Amino acid sequence: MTTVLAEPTGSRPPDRTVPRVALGIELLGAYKDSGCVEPPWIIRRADGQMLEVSPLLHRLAASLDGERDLEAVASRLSQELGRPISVASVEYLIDTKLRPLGLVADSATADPLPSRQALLGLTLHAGVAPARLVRAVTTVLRPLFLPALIVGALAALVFVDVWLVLGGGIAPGVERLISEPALLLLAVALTLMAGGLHELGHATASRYGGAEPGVIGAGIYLIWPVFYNDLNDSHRLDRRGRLRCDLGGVYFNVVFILVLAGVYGVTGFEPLVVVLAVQHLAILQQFLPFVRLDGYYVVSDLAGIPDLFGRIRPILSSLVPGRSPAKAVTVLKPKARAIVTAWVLTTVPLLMASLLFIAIRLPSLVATTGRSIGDQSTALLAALRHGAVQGAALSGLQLVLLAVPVVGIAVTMARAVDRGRRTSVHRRLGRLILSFGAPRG
Amino acid sequence: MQNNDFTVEELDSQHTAQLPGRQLLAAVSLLGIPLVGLDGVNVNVDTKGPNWLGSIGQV
Repeated sequence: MTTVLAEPTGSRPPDRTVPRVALGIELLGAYKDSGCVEPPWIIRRADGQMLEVSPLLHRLAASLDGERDLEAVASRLSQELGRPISVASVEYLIDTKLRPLGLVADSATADPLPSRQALLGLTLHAGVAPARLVRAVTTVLRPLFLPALIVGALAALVFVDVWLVLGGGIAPGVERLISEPALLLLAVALTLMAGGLHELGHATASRYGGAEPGVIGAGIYLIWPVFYNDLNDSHRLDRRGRLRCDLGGVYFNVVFILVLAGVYGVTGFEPLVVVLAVQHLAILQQFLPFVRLDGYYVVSDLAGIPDLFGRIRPILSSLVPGRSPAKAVTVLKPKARAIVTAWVLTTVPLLMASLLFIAIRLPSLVATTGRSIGDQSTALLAALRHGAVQGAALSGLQLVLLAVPVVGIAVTMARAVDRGRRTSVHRRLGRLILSFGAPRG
Repeated sequence: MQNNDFTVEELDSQHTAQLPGRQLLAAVSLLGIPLVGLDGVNVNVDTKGPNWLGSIGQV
C-alpha cells in the first residue's frame, strides 16, 4: 500500500506542469481477491470516498509527487509500462480522468463526488456515533476477535441454546411480558441495544483487520428501521478481512446473547429469554442475501464483486440464447460468475414476487395501518389524559413502529419513480444524440 | 504523439468509477415482535389494563 500526502494547498499555488496528487490520497493497489480477471485498482480520497481506476491511472497518480514535471512523469510511466506514453497523453489523462475525481492537488473538485444512488440502498439516515467515538470504542473491543475467543463464544452459544430449550423455552417469559406490559419497554430497549452492538461488531471487525470504521447511524432501509455502520474503508481488506467485517455484526449478537444468558442464569428474570430468542431470529434475518443485509455482503465478498445489484442486468442479458455476454460478465472469473449468476437467479424472482405481494396487499396494508394508527393515537391521548406514562410510552412506540414502514415504502417508491424517470430522460437524450450522429439517407 | 503511443480511444477507455458504499445494516424490525406478534397466543386479558391489551382480544 502506498500513502501519498501532498503539501496543503495554499502554502504555494499548485504548478500544473509539476502536478501532485491531492492531500490525503491513498493509493491502495489492486482490489484484493477480486472476482474480476483483471482486478480494478483502488484509491481512497481524503473524504473516505473509494474509487476504482485502471492500473495505468493508478500508476500515473503514484507518479504525481510534486517533484517530477510532466516529462519526468511520462518517462517514468513509459519505463513502468514498457511502452512509450507521451507528455500530451499524460496531460490528457490528468485533465480528463484524475482531475475530475478530485485526485490532483489543483482540482477544483473539493466537494464530495455525487454519490451513486444504490439500487435498494439505505434511504433516510442520520449519524448517531461519530467515527472518532467508534474508533475509540472499537480499540477496546478489538481483542474479542481473537480466534480462540470466537470459537469459545460459538461453543458457549450452543451450550446456552440447549440449556434454554431443556429449561422450558420462552413460554414463561412471554407470559410475564403479557402480564406486565411495562416490561415490553425493557425488551424493546434491549433489542435496540443489540442493534447498536451489532454495528459495533462490524466496526470492531473492521479495526481488527486494519481498516477504519466510519460513523454508526440509524435510518430506514426499505421498510425496516435500521442501524448502520459505514465501512467504506474495508474495501482495502482482503476477502478474509471483508468477510470478518460482514460477520462481525452477528458475532456481537452472539456475545450479547451470552451476556443476557449469564444475567438470566443469575437473576432468573424470564423476559430476558424472550429477548434472547428474538436475537436468534435477528441473526437469521441478517443472513438474507437478497437485500443489503449482512448475507448480501457475504455473497458479494465470496464472489469478490462489490456491487451485485449492478450485475443483474448484464447477467440476465447473458442468459438470453444467441446474445453475447456484456463486458460486465466476461470480466468475471468463472467462480465469481457462477456465484453472481446463482445470486441473480434467486434474487430477481424473489424480489419481484415480494414487490407483487406488496402491490396486491398495499390497499389492505394501508387500511389496517391507518386504523391501527387511529386506535393507537386514541390510546395515546387517553393515556396522556390519565397520566399513564407507561401506556403512553407503549402507544407512542407502536405509533413509531407503524409509521416506519409507511415512510419507508413511500420513500422507496418515490426513489424508484425518480430513478425510472431519469433513466427514461437519459435514454431519450441518448436517442436524440444518436439520431443527430446517424448517417442520413 | 510518438509511435506506439496510446491512442485517444485507449486513453478514454481508462476505467474510473466510485466503489459502492459498504453500509452494513442491522434491521431492528424484530423489536416489533413482542408488541405486535402476540395475537396468536392464548392469554387471560386483564380488562383493567391499558387499552392496547384489550385490542389483542379483538384480533
